[in-house]
Amino acid sequence: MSQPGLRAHRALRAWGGPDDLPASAPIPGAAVRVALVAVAAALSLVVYGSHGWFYVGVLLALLAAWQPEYLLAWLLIVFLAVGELGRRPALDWRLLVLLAGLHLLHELATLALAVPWRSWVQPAAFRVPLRRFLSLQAPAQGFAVPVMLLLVPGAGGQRPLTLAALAAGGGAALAVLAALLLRER
Amino acid sequence: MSGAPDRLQDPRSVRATLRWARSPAAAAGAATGLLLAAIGLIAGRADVALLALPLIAAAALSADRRPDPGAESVATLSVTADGGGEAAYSLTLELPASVELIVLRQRLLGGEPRELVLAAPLGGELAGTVPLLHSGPQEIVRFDYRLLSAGGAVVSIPDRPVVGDLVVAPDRIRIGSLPLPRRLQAMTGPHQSARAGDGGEFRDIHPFVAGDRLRRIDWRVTARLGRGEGDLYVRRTGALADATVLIVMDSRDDIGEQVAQWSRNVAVEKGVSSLDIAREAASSLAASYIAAGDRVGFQDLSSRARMIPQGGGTRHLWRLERAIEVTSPSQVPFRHRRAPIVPAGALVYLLSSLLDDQPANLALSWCAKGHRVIAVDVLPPPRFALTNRYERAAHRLIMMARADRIRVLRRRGVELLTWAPDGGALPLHARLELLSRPVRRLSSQAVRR
Repeated sequence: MSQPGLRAHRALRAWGGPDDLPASAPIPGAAVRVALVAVAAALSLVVYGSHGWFYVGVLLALLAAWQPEYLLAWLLIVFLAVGELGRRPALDWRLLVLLAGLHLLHELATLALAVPWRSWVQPAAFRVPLRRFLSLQAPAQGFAVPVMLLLVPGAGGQRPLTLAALAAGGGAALAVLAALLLRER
Repeated sequence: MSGAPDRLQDPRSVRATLRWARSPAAAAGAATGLLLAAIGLIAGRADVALLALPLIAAAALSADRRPDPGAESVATLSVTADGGGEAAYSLTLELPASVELIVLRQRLLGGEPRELVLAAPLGGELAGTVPLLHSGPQEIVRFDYRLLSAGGAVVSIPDRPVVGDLVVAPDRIRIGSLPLPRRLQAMTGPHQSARAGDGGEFRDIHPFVAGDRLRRIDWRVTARLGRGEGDLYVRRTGALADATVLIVMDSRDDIGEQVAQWSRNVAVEKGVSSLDIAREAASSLAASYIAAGDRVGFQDLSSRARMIPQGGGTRHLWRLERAIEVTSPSQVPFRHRRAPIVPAGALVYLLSSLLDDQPANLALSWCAKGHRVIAVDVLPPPRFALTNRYERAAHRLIMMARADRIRVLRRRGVELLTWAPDGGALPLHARLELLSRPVRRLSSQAVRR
């Protein structure tokens, strides 16, 4: 074998990093799963504190990141949302963080299903999921504040609006959903 | 490979009608959203019901943005080999506008696949270079891709891969000393024959006999040596002749220098392989003999399609080079009932790793018929990285059997030429020089250029 051939062998053995790829993709695919675990752990801490249920949330998050095809991330979302039942309903930062966090978990779990963990990801690949997250999250947060103010009982145990507001809110939500689904493509 | 000619492969386009499958993520998101809404409703908790809102909205958006079922994608791949030991590839993808992400799997030289996640549409082409590790036909790069649309809710089912192949010309070494057959053929050629004839150098002084040309009479010698009136002496010259060479390649296996890869045989990992060396040896020998004006034939023992009768000239060399380039491991045993026919008086080069008896038996049968046979050992020097003791023991046993086989070949008159550089051995040109020396019973001689 000639010298160029031997040099080529050595060059190929040195491969493996993102620099050799045909496109700039510096983010490892495992970062999506790491983010999934980090967000889930933070939300578990917010919802359950540092008690035993927190570790259940972390365990579910680890399993969801390890085998995304088992869809455990959505079980984790239910687990975290059910934890909200243990608190008195109130409009505070925890609810708003949970509203954003559960949606973020859904997006990360969807990405974890699609992105192989040994892959390399182009930063621009996160642009569309991020845009979708923000475009849904901004109105959701804006909607959550008046809904909570109107429907949640105040300090005196009285709700500012009960039946009428629920009907109006539900009707509006149904109208938006119907418009989305029935709109002509 | 250095010395390889520039070769441009036509870009290969693969057009595919995309088939889409629903990702379980969309269904899981919608089901989770509905479940949370139901829990909120039953428990009378607006905050829990609110948590369902983004999930249901995301599911609704995904349902709304489903891609067109008849959409097509076009992948165009081109592979180019330069003379610097590298191949350049470029891939362009034409995709429907609804595609958001591309999950691309790239496999170089049959090695481990690597995956990329790219945003759609691609800004340009995906391009890269691959070092060429081997000669011969090979897969340079293979791409598979999946497309994601509608927020990851819909995934395309992978279609045919896009594959870039290339036939890489082997290196060629200039050979100074060429061994010749025991008997030279034909009435003309570049070599000095032992026969008396025209065109060659001075051979001897001989008494005039009927048939000698009058202009060959050497009057000085006749005056000095002549005893009677009728005594005439002529200067005789040697005849010219050309050599017939048959290059026989044993292409059943392609064995790399890394012993640990003998069972797995991964192109990226196995190192320099026996067929790399065989192609280099065959190409160098063919080019050198053709350049010297000799006639060269080629035969691949594993394929009757790759059999080229002996001939000379530049066009014949092109045919030989092409046949040598495209030789690939067949992994099938010989099916010859008898040894392939060799032209009379030909020199036979048998290029083999000599790891079993079949090529050795062929060499012995040709040798028994009076041909000069040179067995070119193309097994690369072994490397033992990542081998375990069982593999090392197996290698030792195989090498012992091979050494016995080579000993038998030598004893029966088959000459051996080790082509790959070996630590303690002579350099290749010195080994060829030794083989080019006149041997016993030879009427021909080596020619030096």
